This record gives sequence, C-alpha cells and structure tokens, in this order.
Amino acid sequence: MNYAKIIPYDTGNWDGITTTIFFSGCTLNCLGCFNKELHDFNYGQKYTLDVEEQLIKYASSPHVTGVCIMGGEVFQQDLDILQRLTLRLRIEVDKPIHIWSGYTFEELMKKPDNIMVLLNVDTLVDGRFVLAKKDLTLKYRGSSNQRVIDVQASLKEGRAVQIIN
Amino acid sequence: MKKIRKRDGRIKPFDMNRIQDVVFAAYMDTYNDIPDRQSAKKVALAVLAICYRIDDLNDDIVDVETIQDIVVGELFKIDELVAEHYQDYREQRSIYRNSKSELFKSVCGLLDYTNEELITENANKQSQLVSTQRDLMAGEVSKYIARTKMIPRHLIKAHDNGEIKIHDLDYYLNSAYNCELVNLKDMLQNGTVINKKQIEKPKSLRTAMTIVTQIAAQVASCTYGGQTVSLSHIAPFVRISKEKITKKYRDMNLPIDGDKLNELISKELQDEIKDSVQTFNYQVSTLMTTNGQSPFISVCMYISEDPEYEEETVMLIEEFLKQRIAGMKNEYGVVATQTFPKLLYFLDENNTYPGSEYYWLTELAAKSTALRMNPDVISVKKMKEIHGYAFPPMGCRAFLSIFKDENDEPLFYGRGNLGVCSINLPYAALEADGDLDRFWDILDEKLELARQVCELRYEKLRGVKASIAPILWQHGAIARLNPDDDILKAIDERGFTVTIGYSGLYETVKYITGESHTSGSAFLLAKEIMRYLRDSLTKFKEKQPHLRFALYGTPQESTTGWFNDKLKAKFGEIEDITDKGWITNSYHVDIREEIDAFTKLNIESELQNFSTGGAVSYIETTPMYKNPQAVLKLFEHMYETIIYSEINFESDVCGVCKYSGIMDCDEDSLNWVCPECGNDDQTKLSVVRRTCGYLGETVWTKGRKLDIINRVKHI
Repeated sequence: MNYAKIIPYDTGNWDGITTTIFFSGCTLNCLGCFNKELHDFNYGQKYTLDVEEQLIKYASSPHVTGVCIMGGEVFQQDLDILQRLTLRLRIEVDKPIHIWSGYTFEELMKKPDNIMVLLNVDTLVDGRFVLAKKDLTLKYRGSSNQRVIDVQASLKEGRAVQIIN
Repeated sequence: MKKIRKRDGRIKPFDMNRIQDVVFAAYMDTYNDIPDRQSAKKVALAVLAICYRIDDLNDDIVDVETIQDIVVGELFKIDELVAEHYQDYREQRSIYRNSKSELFKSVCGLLDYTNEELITENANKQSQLVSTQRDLMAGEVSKYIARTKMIPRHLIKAHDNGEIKIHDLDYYLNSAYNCELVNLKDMLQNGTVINKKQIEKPKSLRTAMTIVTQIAAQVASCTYGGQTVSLSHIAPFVRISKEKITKKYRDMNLPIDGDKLNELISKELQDEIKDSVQTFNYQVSTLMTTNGQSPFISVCMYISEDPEYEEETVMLIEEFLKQRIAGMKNEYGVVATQTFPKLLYFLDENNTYPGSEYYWLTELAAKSTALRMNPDVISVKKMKEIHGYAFPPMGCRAFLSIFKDENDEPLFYGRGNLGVCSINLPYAALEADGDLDRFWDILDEKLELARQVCELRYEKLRGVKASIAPILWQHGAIARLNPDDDILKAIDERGFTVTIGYSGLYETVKYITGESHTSGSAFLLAKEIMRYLRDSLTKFKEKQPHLRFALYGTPQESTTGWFNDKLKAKFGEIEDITDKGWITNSYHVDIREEIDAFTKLNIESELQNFSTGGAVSYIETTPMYKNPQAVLKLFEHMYETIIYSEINFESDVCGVCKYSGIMDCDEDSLNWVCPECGNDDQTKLSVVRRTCGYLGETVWTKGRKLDIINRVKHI
C-alpha cells in the first residue's frame, strides 16, 4: 500500500489545522478529478509502520486540530491497515478524523470491513466528483452532489446524517 | 592664444589670472593664512609651471578638466596638502554638478514616466497623479539639498556605496520626523486646534470620529511615516453618546417598559457606532494628504488598554472588524481588500483561548484576517515579557522604547521616532570576506556611520519652533508647546527615539557560515549578531542619552532591491547572497526556505526579541477565506511566542472579468496576469500583497516584486 504525501499542517481541507495523508490508488476515475496522478496504486512511497508513527507524531502536535485521510480512494486500500490507523489515531491522538471517499455512505455500508474503519471516524465526505456539479465555493468538497456526513450519528441511525446541506 | 572649453560648452580665452586665483585660494583654504615669503615663491612657480604646461599642449582649445588635472599635478610638486585639498574641492564640485543634473533628469523622468525607481518606490503612492508628482518633486529637491549641503560627504559616500541607507532623504530637508503614537486622548478630552480653528471636546461619538480623521490627515501631512490611533481613546465618546441617547428617550416619556426602552437606546447607539466607524474607514481610505497618499494609519485594538472603558472599546473593535469583513468596493465595483487603516489586534489573557471572556471577538478578528489579511496581531503576553508593558507600534512596525515621565509613569502616546538609518549587514560580511573577526570590526564602522546619521537627524531639529507643525507641537498630537518654543524641548521631554535599522541577517550568516540561520551554529551566530547590534546601541545610548537609539528590523520596502544592486555592483554575483534580486527583510528566515509556520515563528521570535525598536514576522499561507479556525490556531501560537506578527496570502481581483483569486506573475516582464481572462493591463488589476508591515497594491519595485513572488508557503 502506497501513500502520495503527508501534510503535517494542512489548512486547505478541513477547518483548523489538520495533519493530512493522501493514499495512492483509485479506480473510480471521475471525470475532472483534481488528483489524477493519485489513481496509480504504485504512486508515492510505501506506507510502513514508520510512516504511521510519523503521521501520529505530526497529528499529536498541539497546533493540530484534526486528521484528514484522503486519496486516491481510501476504501480501495488495505482496510486492515486503515482500521489499525484510525483506531490508533482515536486512542493515541484523540482528535476528529475526517475521511473522503468516492463511494457513497450507502455503498460503503455494504462491506463490514468499511464499517470497521468508519467506527473510528467522525466525518465522511462521500460520493463521486461530478464535473457538471462542480462548485468551488463549497466547503470540504468539490461538487454539490457530495455530502458531509456525521459518521457516528449515521451509524447509530442506520442512514446518512448530513452535517451541512 | 589658447582657449578653454567650459563645462557648458562655451569657449573662452585662457586667462592666467584665473590660475593664479585658484592656486592662491587652494593655499588659503588649506592653511587659513596667506603664504609666507618662502611659500609665496612656491605658489608663483606653480602658477608659472601650470601655464607653461598648458601652453605646451597641442590643442588650441583645452577642456577645463584637462587644466584641472595639470593644476593638481603641479600642486603635488610644491605641497601635497594643498594638492589634496584642491582635489577634494574638485570632487565635491563634481558631485554637486552631477547631482544637479541628476535632479533635473530625475524630475523630468517622473513627469514623462521614465524614472521607474522613483515611480514604484513607494507602493502606496500613485505617481501618475499630479498631487503625488508634486510631493515626489519636492522629494527630489530635498534629496539633492540633503546630499549636497546637509549631510557630510563620508556619510553620503557610505549611502551611495550601499553600506548604509539614509532613509527618507526625500523629507530630510524639512523639519519633519518619521512616525508617532498620536495623543488622541488628550486632543479629544482637552480640545485641539485644526487650521487655526478651535475644536472643543466633542459631545458625541459621531463628531469625535470625524475629528479623529481630521487629526489623522493633519498629522500625516506634518510627518513622513505612519501614525497609530487607539480605539480606547475614542471609547469614552461611545459612553457620551449612550448617555445622550438615553436622556433623549427618557425625556420623551414613552409609554413603554424599561426593556423596550433599553432596546431602542441600544439600537440607536449601534447605528451611531456603525456610521462613525464607516466615516472613519471611508475618510482614511479616500483622504489625500500633502504627502501624496492616504494617511499611513494604524488602529490599535487593545481591549484592556483603558480598563475604565473596556466595554466601549470592545464595541468599537467589533464594528471595525465587521466592516473590514464586509469589505470595501474598489473602482470596478468588486469588494476588495483595503490597505488602510491597518488594524492591530491585541491578543491577551481575556481573548486568546476558547472559553476566555472575549474569545468571540477574536473569532471575529480571525474571520477578518482570513478574508482581508487584517488585523495583524500583537501578543500582550510577549510585550509584557520583553518591554514590561503592552503598546502599539507607530504605524507599521517601529516600537518606542520605555520612557518614563517625572512621575515615573511610562509615556507612550504623544511620542514618536525621529527617523531611520539602516545598516546593510551583508555589505559588512562581504567586505570582511566572510572572516568573522573582521566582520565585527567592520560592523562597528557601519554602526558608527549610522550613529552619526541619527545624531544629524536630531541636531537638524535644533532651533526649530513649535509653530512649524502646530497640530503636533502646540495642539496636543505630541505636546502643548508655545509657538516659539523649541520642538527639541518636547522631543527630549517625551523621549522620542531615533532608529538604527538592519537588514539581510540571512545573507550575512549564510555568507559567513555557508548555512541558513535557522539551525545549529548558524542560528547561534544570528543571535550573536542581533545581541551585538542591541548592545552597541546600548553603548551609544550611554554616551548620548538624549538620542535614545532603538534597534529596528528594516523591512526595506524598495531598499531590498537597492541594497542588492549595490552589493552586486561591488562584490559581484554570489549565490544566495546577491543573485536573487533582493536582500532579506530584517532578521527574517530566507523567504525561499521550506519551513513550517510554527517553527518559523519560534526561530524568529528569538531574533525579534532583540529588535525592540521594531520588527514584525510574517507567515505565508494559502488563502484562508474558508478556514478562520486555522487562523485562530495560529493566533494562539503567536500569543505564546512572538510580539508582533502577520499572516500573508494572495488577495487579488481582476477589473476586467471580476475574477477574484490569485493573479499570475509573468516571469519575464514581471507583470501581473489574470489566470482567468489573461488580462495583463496593470491598471485594471488589483493585486494586494504584504509589502512591509503595510499592505500594498499592484505596484512594487523590481526587487520587492521578486521577493513577493518567491515567498514560500509556511502552512
């Protein structure tokens, strides 16, 4: 499993200052994708335990308010590793975790492995990027069909609960 | 019969008596006495020798310079001292003549738009305006007279070499000083006089605010730097207005309950605050002072500055922030970032962290900064650690040193700074050839030059009467002197500072150690240089306590390229030192270095602490419009680490397609280009960037522009 880059202090994806990791590899191939080079699963460097330690160290900085996990497609990665990562972040860092996926919440719910990852996550920005619905004034997402979902509330209620419409 | 060709081209018959006069005058000038018998003989022989040699020349028409060479040659044979004296005189005349023709060229270049350096020197002056041109022309005359008549030659020489920069030569001729904290409190409470009209204590906020803008314009016209006014000085008039409105409604005897009545009062007060702040904003942004620009004004927003009026101060701060967030439309009808007034928000115990009393106000400040690059922030915590007190800079960044009155109370408002002379630190490093021992010796020489310039600035105000600028010296902005009093009385009694600046710490350390000054021994050297500068000024102050030297981190608005060009001309192109096109601002980390915001502030704060006469650190960010929460986190770190800092990003609008985002910069022409529509008409683009402490718009000198476009993001 490869990752493209880690931004220790990122202000561009979520409110406040987050530590952000981009995993490599995605087969969804949305038209107009802004991260095309990350479609390749071999892009970037190998994700190792050392990288994970470094990521946790960055995220533990008192300046950092949360963690962003994006890609590529997060849910096309090794989900065992992602489950470990999100669990460790929850326990060792204890800051909000935000995940982006091209799949919708409903699509993700069909696979138990996905749910195991989402159990530790706070928000999910979901759905394909749709060029026709591109809107750069939106927060957190690129097209208006994409949703910002409160994961814990959604898991409890068994349906997607949106934070903002 | 020989003829001579004079400098203006006219041809005159050669006259032996002229030679005799010249040689005799040189002798008299050297010894202050007529020649004795022996010497008179030598002088006569020299004159004869000169005439023979001229007669021996092949040409019938001889240039005046050729004759002068012969005179010097012959004088050396009879008396070296006289010869050197004559040579000196000749050089001085030549400088005088050159600068006279330079003055002419410079002024004409301003009018036909070919004098690029002068046109772009100050990012806030619109040099195509007739009013600005008049200011710039006066500036050229001032420079000319300062250079030829007022400042000794060795200092001008050091300036021309780029060893030091004698700032603001364009105002040197006038008995004006640089910047101040306006004593608004005294002017508003005890009345003032503007244009010979008595202005009494205002009876409402609305009137008070109008008077403040009048004062700002007057003060700006009497000085050449920035000024700061404090909202806590205006806050008492919020209370006066509130009392006035309350009385009005009470007198009406309205048939409504107390809550409803209070609501009405509060609504009317809010309206008055809104109108007043709007008046201030528009006045300050639209006024044109005699300096050919809007007043360089900063607004101090320090909640607890006057505890008695904390509530009212907060109300004013809130309105200023709201209006800054709402923005101001530019000439294309697009809401754009306004450059003035600059806002200074004080981070304190009661507003920095979530849960503190006025955190909601800081959230508003962060929202404004995320949109408009303003307010900039000052840490009350760090100010108190370093200075013992918290107070604003004068305009952009110059800070006063602590000065107490006869009652042992510290004075801040009604004080100012007389002016700046900066040291080009890399010049000393290059002259020393990178040898550290020699560097300290050479730095001492440069410090002495700067000290002399500072002394001159003070001394040239000797004998100047208060009537030269009544608003400052007679009517309260600084003091309440009588028209015939010497202004030096107020300058001494109120503890004005005079400033020695420095820039290019990065290049200096890099040249000596080969490393960037962000880590290891290079950082230690950087600190040592800063400490050395501060300690040297302390020594100067001990010898001349009346001068109150302050150490100032020079932002070098246009000097950044000027210093670089001088260094390159003298020492050639050197990697990372003179090959970039600019010299780094004060103690700042190299703008090209990859470093995160928090580490940068940590490092720079340790250097800024020595620079008590002024300095400000920058953080370059991607635009944060959507993320004020990140600004709040930066504010927390700034509060903990650094006295004074600013967040920079791009804030641009295209006047053609109305695109607002980041403009590209063409690499060859260095012109701004709209990425959306390709518009590259510089007059139809609004490009706002941090120039120094102030924001600037669209026009900068080449060196400053190269600095701006090469800045690396820190977060």
